[in-house]
Parts: sequence; structure tokens; C-alpha cells
Amino acid sequence: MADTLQGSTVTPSKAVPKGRPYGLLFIALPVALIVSFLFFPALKSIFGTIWVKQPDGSYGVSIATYQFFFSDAYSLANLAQTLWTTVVTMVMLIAVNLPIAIYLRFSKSKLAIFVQVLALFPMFVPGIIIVYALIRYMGPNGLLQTLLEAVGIFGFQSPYLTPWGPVIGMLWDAMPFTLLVLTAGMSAIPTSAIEAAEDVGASPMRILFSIILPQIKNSLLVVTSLNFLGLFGQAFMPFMLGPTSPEMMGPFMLRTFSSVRDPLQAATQATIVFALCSLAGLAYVRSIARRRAQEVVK
Amino acid sequence: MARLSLAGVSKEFGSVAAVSPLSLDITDGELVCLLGPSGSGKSTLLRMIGGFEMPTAGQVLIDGQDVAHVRPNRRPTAMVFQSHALWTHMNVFENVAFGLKLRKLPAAQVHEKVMTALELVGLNGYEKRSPRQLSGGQQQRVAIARCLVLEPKILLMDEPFASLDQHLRERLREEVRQIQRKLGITTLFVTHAQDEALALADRIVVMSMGAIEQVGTPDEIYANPSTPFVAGFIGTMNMLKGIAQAGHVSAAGFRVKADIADGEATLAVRPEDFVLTDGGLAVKVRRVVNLGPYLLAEAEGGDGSAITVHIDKNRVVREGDILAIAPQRYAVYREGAAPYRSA
Repeated sequence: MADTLQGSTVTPSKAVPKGRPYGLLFIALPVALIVSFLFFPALKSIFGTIWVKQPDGSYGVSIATYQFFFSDAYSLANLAQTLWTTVVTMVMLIAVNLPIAIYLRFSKSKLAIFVQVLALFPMFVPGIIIVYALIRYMGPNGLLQTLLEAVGIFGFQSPYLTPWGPVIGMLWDAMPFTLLVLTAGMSAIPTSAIEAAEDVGASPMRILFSIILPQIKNSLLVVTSLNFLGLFGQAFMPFMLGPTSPEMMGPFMLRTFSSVRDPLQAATQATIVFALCSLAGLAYVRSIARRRAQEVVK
Repeated sequence: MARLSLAGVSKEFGSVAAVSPLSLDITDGELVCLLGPSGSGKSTLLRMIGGFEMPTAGQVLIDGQDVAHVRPNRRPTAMVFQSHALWTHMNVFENVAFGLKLRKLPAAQVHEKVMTALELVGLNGYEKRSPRQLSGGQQQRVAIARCLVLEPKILLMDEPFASLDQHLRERLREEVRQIQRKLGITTLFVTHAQDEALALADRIVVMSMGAIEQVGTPDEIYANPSTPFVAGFIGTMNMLKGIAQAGHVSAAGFRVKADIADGEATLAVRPEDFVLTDGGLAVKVRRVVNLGPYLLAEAEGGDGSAITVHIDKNRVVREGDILAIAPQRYAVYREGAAPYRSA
């Protein structure tokens, strides 16, 4: 064996030289596409809101459109309406999905599979179908009202075209994603960690607040920040199910751009929405960075 | 410290019997190892004692009180889990203090008790660390401290060292033994590692297929295994199939005296219980392994059976050598009968 080794000529494998940007080349095309079709137009649009045509025809820096937005009662009401709808929907998403995620994590029943399929079902239904189904169900003279009246309950106030309309629609729409993230977070909690808490004397509620919720903090942050991004800029559901005045920023921007034909003000509205969403984006990025740091420590 | 009694305890998962009805008494301050292969029901039994599984039938008595259907948080037991089960969002101090805080003890008392427990497991100075910053052995010490700080009557340990390397396991088991002796706490320790059980236990409960095969001290279990399963599971044993006839057993070319009924039987001989003798059975050495204090020779018996023999390390033995061996001490097992043991 030793002779064979001594006699053989071993060609050293070619080492990959350090510092060569093979990895960067690999992502060059997608990065170029993102820069060309996303960052550049977005930055140009944002820049266009402060580099505006002056009365004398020249271009200069101006924050007049922002001054208008923040002094216009209707614009502020729309912003407030958007914040209210987003926050209420997010709270309801957690309130509805967290118990389901906990149930799915700990239930050994066959019913759990049925519950999971049911909760994920909206993922496979196009938004337009959901909207029309909701209108037919909860709208005036819809199925819900008919059923209530059939059992003697009158005076049903339909949430359709009220602030609650988009909340219900977006809740349905965002439920599968929220449930998937929370279920993934829950599955990372070992059963023994729960049992250990029970063993030292923790009640089920104490286990929920002291063990489960802190351990799925990252998942909660992910669903909160990503849902905020999705819900805040929603245009379709609020347009179809929500009130017209005040309205959410999505349909407001759309209307300002296409009906009012004021692209500069629409871009200003979009920039304000972008700035607010950036805060949620920042929270998401921080949660990812923290998780990476924990993995490095591990 | 407490006395634990299991009376007719059993557990069925659907139609599968994980633990067949069994009874066992564990005295105050005793360290008992539940030993058996995977699926033998030892962890299920421990979980029933801890309250994580409800028995299908039977009683779990702690100091005479039946706790079979009492929740884990209301039992005077504490469990150390195989996976450490530390709460990663809490530091070491908070992990150990959690149970004390639930009991609403004053902060100063919590601090004192936690520090004492951490000192007991050799982790003083680590209280601010996150579990992620600890090694596997240190994590398991925190888990032990978390249990001990609550001063349970019974400590339950479910394969606590299974995920650790051999060296660390040996060190930790010695430490656990010392702590257990110091506190005098009744302890049940589940393991599938026989060396761990033999080194740790006051008594060993050998389990197989959900039933107890034998209960005894490590010496008893090793020297006098009562069933072929225990004989094959504890230590190394040559289990040679043979025939019992007219007060003798013939197996693998050996013929030894055995006062047992005629029929199929198994001759069980430990490798160290063979002697080299001129009148012995000639076996051919297939492989020799130097195990330090002695040589281990794998040989072939008269009928081709594999026989393992320990040989004095001063003797020169090579592959292909012929050795003449005879069992000096042996047991004979026959189904439905008590084992026969040589003098």
C-alpha cells in the first residue's frame, strides 16, 4: 500500500483562487433586473416627488406635495383609515391563527389535518372569487342575513362597504400565509420544552405566555412585518369591499393616479406608504439578522 | 426522598401494549436504572411516573399516594429530558429559577436556591449565559439543576446522556451518582447503555417488549441473568444452541452437566468464564483483538458456532491457532423452566 502511494504521481487539484467574484457573477443577472426594473424606477419616482417643475418652468427641490398631503384632511383620513384597517387585520390574523397553530402543533387528533386543510384553503382560491363569495355571503340580503332572519334575528348590519369589509376580506386572504409561518415557528418548539415547563409547575396559560410566545417571537415578528407590508398597500380588497370615504391608501393612490390624473400626488402618496412600510421591513430584516446571529452563536 | 411503588401499571396505545401490567417497588433514596433496548417500554414507564402519560391501568404510588392520574405539575417528581429541554429564550439563571418563581418564592430565596443548585452541578459563574452558549454537557447540568432546585421527592432521568460523547457521559454519570448520594434523592434513570446502568445503579430493572425481565443489583444481573434475553443483553455472552438430554447439555461441541429437563436448550457462557485446558474442545481462532487487560479471541466451535473467549494477555495467540477450551462457569436456559447454573 505504502509502495503504491510512494510510486504514484498525485496531481494537486486546482484550488479556486480567493477573491474572484464567482458568487457575484452568479447573482449578477437577477440583481441587474431588480436594479433596472425595481430600484431605479422607484428611486426615480421618489426623487420626482421632490424635484418638481417650478411655476417659472424650471425644476427645483420642493416638498409642496408632502405639505399638501399632510395638510389635507381627506388624505390624512385615508392614511388613518389604512393604519386602522392594517392594525385591526393584523391583530385579528394573530388572534385567529395562533390558537389554530397551537392546536395543530399539539393535537394528535385526525381532525387536526382537516383543520389545517380548511385554514390553508384560501391560498388556493383567487382573490376575486373570495371577494365575490364574501359579498354574496355577508352583503345586504346575502346568505348570512337570510340565515339570521330565518332564525328570527333581524337588523343585521352588513360589513360590506364599511371599514370592516376589507378587514374580513384581507383576514381571509392572509390567513394561510400567517398560519404557515406560525405553524413552522411552533414546530420548532420541542415537546420536551413544553413538558419541562409543565413539570416544574407551569399552568397551560403560563406555558403559553412564558414558553410558547417567547419562543415563536421571530415568527410573530415575521408575520407582523410581512403582513403589514402586504395589507398596508392593498388596493383590490379595500376597493371591492371597503368604503369610498375615507378609503385605504391603495384605492386612494389608484384613484389619484388614474381618475384624478395627478401622478405627482399619487407618487407622493406612494412614497409616504413606502416610508411607513420601510419600518415594517426594517423590523423584518432585524428579526432575520437576530436569528442569523443566534445560529452563529449556536 | 420518597418511596415509589408501581402496582399493575400498564399502558396501551390503541391496540399496541407499550407496557404490560407490571409492579415494582423502589425504596427511599435508591437509584434504579430502567435498562432495555429501544421500544422496551422503559421511557413510557418513566413518563407514566412523571405524569406525561396516563396509565391504562394500575397505580403509581408515591409514599402510598396514588398519583397515576395527577398532572405532572402536581406530582413531587422532576424529569430530566434526553434533549435537555432548556428554554432558549431564558438564560441559565432564569431556566433554573422558573419553577421557583412559579411558587412565588421571595426573590432573595430564589437567588440563593438557584446559586446553590448551580454550584451543586458545577456551573457557578454561568448564570448569565444563554443555553446556546453552553456545551451539551453543560446544558444537561442546567437541566439537572432546574430539577434539583425544586427539591423533588423523586428524580426521573430519561436517557439524559444519550446525546453526549462517551467521555463526557462517563464523567457526568459519576457526578450524577455523587449528587444523588449527597442528596439521597430517589432516582429513576432510563438508559439503553448497559455500562451506564452497571456503573450507576443500586438496582437495575431490565425491560423487554414492555415487560420486566429481571430486577436486581448490577452484580446479580451480570452474574445470574434470569432469562436468555438478559443473558444476551447484559455484557457479552456466548449463547450456544444445543440439546439437553439425560442431565447433560450438548452445544457447539461442548458437553456439560445440566440438571434440566430434556429438549432444546441454550448454553450461556461469558467469554471470561472459559478456561484453556488440555481436555477442552478444540476451537480455531478466527480473529484476535487486544483489549488492553486481556485478549479477545473470536473462535469457531465444533459445529461452526462463533465463540468469544477472553485470554490472558501474556499468552501468544494468533489467527488460525487451535485452542482447547472448556466452560468453567455457565448457565443453561430452557423455555418454561428455571435456568440451570453451574456451581
